[in-house]
Amino acid sequence: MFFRFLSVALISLSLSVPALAAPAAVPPDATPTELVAYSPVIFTGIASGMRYGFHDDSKMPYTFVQFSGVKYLRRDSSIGDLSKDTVEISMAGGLRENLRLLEIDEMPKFDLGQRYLVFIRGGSWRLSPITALEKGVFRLHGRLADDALVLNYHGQPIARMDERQFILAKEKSANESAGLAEQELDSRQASYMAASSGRAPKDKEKEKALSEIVVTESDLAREPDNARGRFANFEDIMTISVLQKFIEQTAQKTAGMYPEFSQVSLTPVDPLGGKGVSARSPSASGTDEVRPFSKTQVD
Amino acid sequence: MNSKISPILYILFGVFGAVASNSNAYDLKSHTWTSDPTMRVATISFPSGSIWRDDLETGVGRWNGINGMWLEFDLTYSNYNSFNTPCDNTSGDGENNVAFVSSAAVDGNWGLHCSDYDGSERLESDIMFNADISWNTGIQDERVRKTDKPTFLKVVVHEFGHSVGLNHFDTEHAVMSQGYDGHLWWGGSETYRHHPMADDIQGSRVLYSHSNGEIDVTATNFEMSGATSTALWRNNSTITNVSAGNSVNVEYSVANIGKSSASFSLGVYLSTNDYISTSDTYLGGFGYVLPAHYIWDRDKTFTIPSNVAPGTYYIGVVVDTDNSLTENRESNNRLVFPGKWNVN
Repeated sequence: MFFRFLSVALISLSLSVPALAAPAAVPPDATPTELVAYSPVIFTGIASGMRYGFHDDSKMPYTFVQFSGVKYLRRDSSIGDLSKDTVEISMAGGLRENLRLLEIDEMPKFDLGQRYLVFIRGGSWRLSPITALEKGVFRLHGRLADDALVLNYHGQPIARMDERQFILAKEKSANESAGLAEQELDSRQASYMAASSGRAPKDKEKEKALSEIVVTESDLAREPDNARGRFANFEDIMTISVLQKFIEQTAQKTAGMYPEFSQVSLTPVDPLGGKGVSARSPSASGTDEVRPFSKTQVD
Repeated sequence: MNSKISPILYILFGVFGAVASNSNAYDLKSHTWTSDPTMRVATISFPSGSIWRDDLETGVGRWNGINGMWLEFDLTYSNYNSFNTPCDNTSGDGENNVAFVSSAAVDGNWGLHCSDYDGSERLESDIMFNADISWNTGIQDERVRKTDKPTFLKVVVHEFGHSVGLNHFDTEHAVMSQGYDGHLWWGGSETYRHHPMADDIQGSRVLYSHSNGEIDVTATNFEMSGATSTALWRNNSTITNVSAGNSVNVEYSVANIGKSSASFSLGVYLSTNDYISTSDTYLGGFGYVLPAHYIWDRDKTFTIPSNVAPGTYYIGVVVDTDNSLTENRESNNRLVFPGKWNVN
């Protein structure tokens, strides 16, 4: 079974919320290089606790997620209590004081007991400290000591990365093993199509060809997400050591290039000042994003 | 680990729970609409006659046009300058607002969907777009898009998908796929781009089932995940040289987005123009039987006939080549691949 669950405990934190500081934006489609460049803290850890709570006197609920067994792949900024191997981060969404629930769709959700690789952005933020949201969260399959496999947020194995994105691993004959089939139209049929202005073979002929293909819904059933051996049928899945090397190299290459992202904060800012949201014209001040790393080749 | 959690805890803690499915990729919210929602659109963001309003209505129409689900969004335009949303420091204002807002209000995201709910009852659903970035407007061909700008229509379809009740999926062929590069559904024709795909549509039909049927098969092409070749990540200026009698490799996805299993043929054609039809030079074809809501990635090699005259050609596919299916949409049966092939 694939469970997602969150603690309903309401424990308020006495954390201050700086007001009216404008968060620096991270591109939602951050490239692998950008993920590292904007993330002074990158760690692995097991999601070990979750609860709803509030920052200071904010009325907006946050979901606090605690990670245990934390190991840092990058720690260029202080985060939490360095003497402990736990980290707690918070993302907007959760249970309000009136017992209604707030959901913000772009916020990552975590499964308790799952080991994750998490990119923490530098600079101020309002909704989530995770770099590029779901793109900054990876699942790890297997023990770290055994060079765990890297999966994306949704649990899909990753093969490699290019300058734009992480590339998913290819499953060996996935659909064929699931029971799908296709019927190649033979040369006679092909000639028939060409000779008749491309018309396909008529019904009886076609029906006969297609009748040999039987596919049922049950044939298409996929394995549960956490089934043992789920990844045995995939080729070339990236391991954490490969990604760690990329992180180290990229961190070195991009060090100091984004000073506004150099320091991590675990508390949100409220640039809206509790005054609601202003509707705007989209064309008034639109600017092109500056993407110095978007075309960077991956070593 | 997870399997050791008791069902009682799951009930207690499952407030953000995904509807697990072993056979489908869609991921449904626990809170949905009980009647057609009215979305209050800010006219300052979407003035009459603007491309923004056109794209908004086109995007909403992508969902309203799905047969076999009863939900439809109603849009009302209202002249308001400020509003409260569940994801500011209030509990919202009870209106389902749609507006452009500052980048700070959406934390730098292109779009954001915020909802307040009580149990399974949706109380408010606000959709906000980032006013501080540049957008591509109109219908874009994402295969050949040359800028990093997001396409507004695609983000509209995505955010309204959240309002429908869909979470992000773990599939590339869905408008609800997380991440811009994941939205790889272009559709077989320009008018069908940025359209909900098999898993999007199936999830919607599960949430708002309606007896209306739908027959619709289509095709797209893409950069195959994990493939060693990225040849299909082409642009319109990409020219591939090939000699007559030699082979070309193409990748495409064939899909059944109707409500029931469908049998149909697919042909791959070489054409002197970018309108692929069954009268073009036939390179090969297949018969398919696909269950409802299914998309299948294919990687195929075809031989350019030795009698093809030297010249520049397009390659594409036609599904349901013999028009044996009476489809709700026939306009998405043709697909031309980006770039050209220079046959010598």
